[in-house]
Amino acid sequence: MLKRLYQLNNKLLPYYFIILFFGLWQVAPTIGWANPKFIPPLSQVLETGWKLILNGDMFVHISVSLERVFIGLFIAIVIGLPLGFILGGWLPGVAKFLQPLMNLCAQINTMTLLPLFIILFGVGEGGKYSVIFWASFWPILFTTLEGVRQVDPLLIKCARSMGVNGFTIFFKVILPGAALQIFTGIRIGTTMAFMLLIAAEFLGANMGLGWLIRNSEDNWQIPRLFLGLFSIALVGMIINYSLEWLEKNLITWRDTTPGITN
Amino acid sequence: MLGNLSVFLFFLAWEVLPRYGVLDEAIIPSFSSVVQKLYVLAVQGELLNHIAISLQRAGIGFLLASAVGIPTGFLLAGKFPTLEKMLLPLLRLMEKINPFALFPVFILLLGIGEVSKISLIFWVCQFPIIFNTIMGQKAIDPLLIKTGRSMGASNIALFFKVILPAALPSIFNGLKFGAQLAFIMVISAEMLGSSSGMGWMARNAQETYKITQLFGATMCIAILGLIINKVFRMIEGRMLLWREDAFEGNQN
Repeated sequence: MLKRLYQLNNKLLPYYFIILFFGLWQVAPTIGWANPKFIPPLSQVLETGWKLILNGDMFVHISVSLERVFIGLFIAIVIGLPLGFILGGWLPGVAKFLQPLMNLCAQINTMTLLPLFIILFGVGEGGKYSVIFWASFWPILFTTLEGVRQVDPLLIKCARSMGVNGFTIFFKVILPGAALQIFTGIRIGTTMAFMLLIAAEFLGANMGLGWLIRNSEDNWQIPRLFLGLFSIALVGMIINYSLEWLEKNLITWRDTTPGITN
Repeated sequence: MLGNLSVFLFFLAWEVLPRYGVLDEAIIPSFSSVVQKLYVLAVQGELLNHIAISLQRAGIGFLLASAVGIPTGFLLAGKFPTLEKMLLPLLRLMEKINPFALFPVFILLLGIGEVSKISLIFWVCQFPIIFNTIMGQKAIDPLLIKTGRSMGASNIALFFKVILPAALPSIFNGLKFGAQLAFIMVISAEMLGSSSGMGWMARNAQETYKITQLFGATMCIAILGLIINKVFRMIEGRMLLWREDAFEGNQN
């Protein structure tokens, strides 16, 4: 009996502080440890959230934000993936030539480019899409390149010696071989995209989760502000877990767990 | 130097295309005019002022984060392992919260001044520094510690002569990451809510359509970021050189 309790305790250990944190969030403003005007109790935040869900606002903001992320991400994938394959597989010389320039572009933090992109592509959706695209494009391109490069050349030669044509080699050898790297790149790209999305919506938007926070700040609607924060964290986590789930279920041929996970 | 040909060609295109009208000069000024503008701003003193302000904010936030993060990491990994197991999931959760979204909360609690910005930088830098310090301590070959103890080393001597040096590469990795984050956050924070600093300068140029100034500020920020990266990588390279000989057993 005692042993079972110990085992249960060990399993729950990581969650204690998280529970404590949320508990504190609820209790502290209620008792007065924290000023409820600045830090509303968790229940009030959730209540505001429920109200916004009921009147449909929440749905609008979330869908607008997600739409922006996914469109930017989509363009990044559509351009980045083929480009990565072409540069990695067919034109390694060109890849080597462009590498310093690409490294330079990727190193420059996207936030830095935000005002520039707003001027170049407009204050509206153009600026946001371009920033999200830029932020997610580079990880996807680089990981695809790397993924193609590290496919065991022996496998390709094997396939060739069996008389397989180019397309089949691509779909049956290269793509699966690079798939893991590519997925990692897409995950990183999505994280960056989401981060930049919030910043971009801060600077100029009239809808979306980032705007929700900005607007709440301007109008001193504190529970709504925390709600926005909470929603962003939640949506971000859901997206991340979805991608991980997708990766686990699509890449069924990997038999060793990678050492580089986070 | 052939490797950098693509970069050179890029700048060449930047100079030539706007000049000959292929790119609209009003929207994309030529490279030389951007540099010229930067020079003018530098001479006026404005540019250096903003750079100093930005670097100062980032520096303070980063140093504070290191001063708190590194000891915390050691304490958690070394002295309070159970606390570490309990605290870490919460910390990982907090790391994932978008700092841009968190910024208004900081402003709310700490006002619009310097404190909120430095606190934001402090917050963001804490996580890589703490996590990497913990990782660094955990990765130490226990044989090294046992050897030290068997030679009669006191706890303090053990820490400074065995643990600290062995964990240093990982700690430095965290510091490097933290420094980059600090710079990114200071610029972003200045763009979102400030009236000074490089980030503000870029944003202001965008809002008032001073295109050349915008390009100049953006370029300046990019260069600063690259310099910071380069400096940390150089220090890391030097450190790793003498680390390799001293600690064969450490997998770092």
